[in-house]
Amino acid sequence: MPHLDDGHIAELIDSAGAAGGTDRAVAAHLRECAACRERVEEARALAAEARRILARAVPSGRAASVVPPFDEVLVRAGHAAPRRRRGVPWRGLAWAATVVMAVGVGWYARGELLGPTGSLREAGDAVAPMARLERTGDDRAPSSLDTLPAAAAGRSSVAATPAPARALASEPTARVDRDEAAAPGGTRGAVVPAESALVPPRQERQPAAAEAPRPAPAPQREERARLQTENEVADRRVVGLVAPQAAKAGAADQVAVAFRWQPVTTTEATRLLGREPLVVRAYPVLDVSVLGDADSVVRVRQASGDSTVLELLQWRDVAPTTRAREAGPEADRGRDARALPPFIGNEARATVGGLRVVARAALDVDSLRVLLAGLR
Amino acid sequence: MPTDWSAIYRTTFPDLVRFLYRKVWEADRAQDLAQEVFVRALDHDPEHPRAWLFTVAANLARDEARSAIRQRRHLALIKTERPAPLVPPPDEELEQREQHEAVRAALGDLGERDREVLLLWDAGFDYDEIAHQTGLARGAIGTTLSRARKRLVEAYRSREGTDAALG
Repeated sequence: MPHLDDGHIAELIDSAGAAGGTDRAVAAHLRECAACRERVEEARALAAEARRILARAVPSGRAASVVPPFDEVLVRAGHAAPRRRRGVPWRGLAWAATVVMAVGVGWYARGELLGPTGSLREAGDAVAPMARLERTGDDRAPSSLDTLPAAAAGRSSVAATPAPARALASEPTARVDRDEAAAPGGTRGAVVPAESALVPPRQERQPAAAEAPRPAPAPQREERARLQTENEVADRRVVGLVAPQAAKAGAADQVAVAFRWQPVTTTEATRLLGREPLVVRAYPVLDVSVLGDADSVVRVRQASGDSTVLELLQWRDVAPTTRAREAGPEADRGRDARALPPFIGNEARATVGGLRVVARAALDVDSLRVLLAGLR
Repeated sequence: MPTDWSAIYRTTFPDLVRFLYRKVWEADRAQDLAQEVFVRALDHDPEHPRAWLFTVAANLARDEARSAIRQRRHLALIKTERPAPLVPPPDEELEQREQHEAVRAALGDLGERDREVLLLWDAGFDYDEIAHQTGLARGAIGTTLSRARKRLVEAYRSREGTDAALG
């Protein structure tokens, strides 16, 4: 056998030799050839030295010692992947819708948009004040706003909702502003009867229409300013409604619910949920609050970068009752049928660690699912 | 059976960071790129995860190097005199930085293919995997690797000798 070349020797020392026959032949040659044995030893020393040299060039500091949690990758994937897959600017649309809605609410609160409310109802016109912005020429406003009642109504079609419910669904925020202006310190934040809360008596509202644009009395202005500050700073007063099933069943006058998020400590949230609230570990937590009704829903809001806020609504997952099991999967879905405040954006749902979780943000659904999958 | 990316991440991430570091020579950037590699992997769910990860890592590092070159050219045009740091780095850090520079220079003396084979070998790839990654013939890996190791050691020693003479 001829002397071993560098390639054979390299394979030999890297234990990546070929078939056994070749190995036997090489071994036999090495037993007889001192020169090749010497070259093998040199190559082995060279390989060890190369490894030592390379080992001197390893990252130092955190990068060397810490493997970041895999959740960080999941989070990054949740943001980056959809951008590659789709060109639809969901986040931009959501922001645009938010701005349009804020403008609409502001106009409505000033009493400049809405004429005599009673006449609207008499005409059977279920167009909400905000929807009137369609006439301002903003192309995106109608489509963005159209999504609001749909999201609020558990993604049911607005057209399929009875007209009274549609009317109610389209002006929840304005309703409460008006009620609070009329009765400061009254029923704010509580479950209120539909008649008094959603359709104030006409005789109380006609003067307001006649006097527009009169300024609000000073105490009312102060109250409104206070509430606006609350909204902007802490979002403690999210108002909405909806229970499409109830509306379809003709119980539209019973479906109005005033939602109010009340800040709670993590301990209190833990007590309500029976475990620690679920969070996306890589995101800083902005606040923890609970929906102010008996069937507690905990909300954890987290900053997910790029000015996006992620909401994780969570509540105890209750096993279906025997009757529900007998009724089949349709009844089991009732576990999910919570009336939640409206939200502009997308949502994804999952059951994680004994909790039903709804992730909502101005992200696409795939991203939200990835975030849900990474919840701890 | 779905790929357990969490487990692959735990076992491969350090190797990937080390591999990338020897290409971009910036620890944070290497870690960031390594995470980006996994982000893409989640999107593609490749059949051979480890090989795929290192291939994408090499491509990302190559893109990174190109953009760095462009950036350096741009900066050269607007370069201003940067004041020297007031506090010199500690000796240990200085020594480490010199070592990294020495290894970097030694690796720079290698041809691109030799360097790639050497780094894959150091990352634990066997000859078949290196051949698959680099497109070289399986039989050429031993020779290429042998040459690369020899040149690396010689270049490093040569630099050490120069430093000692200057020292």
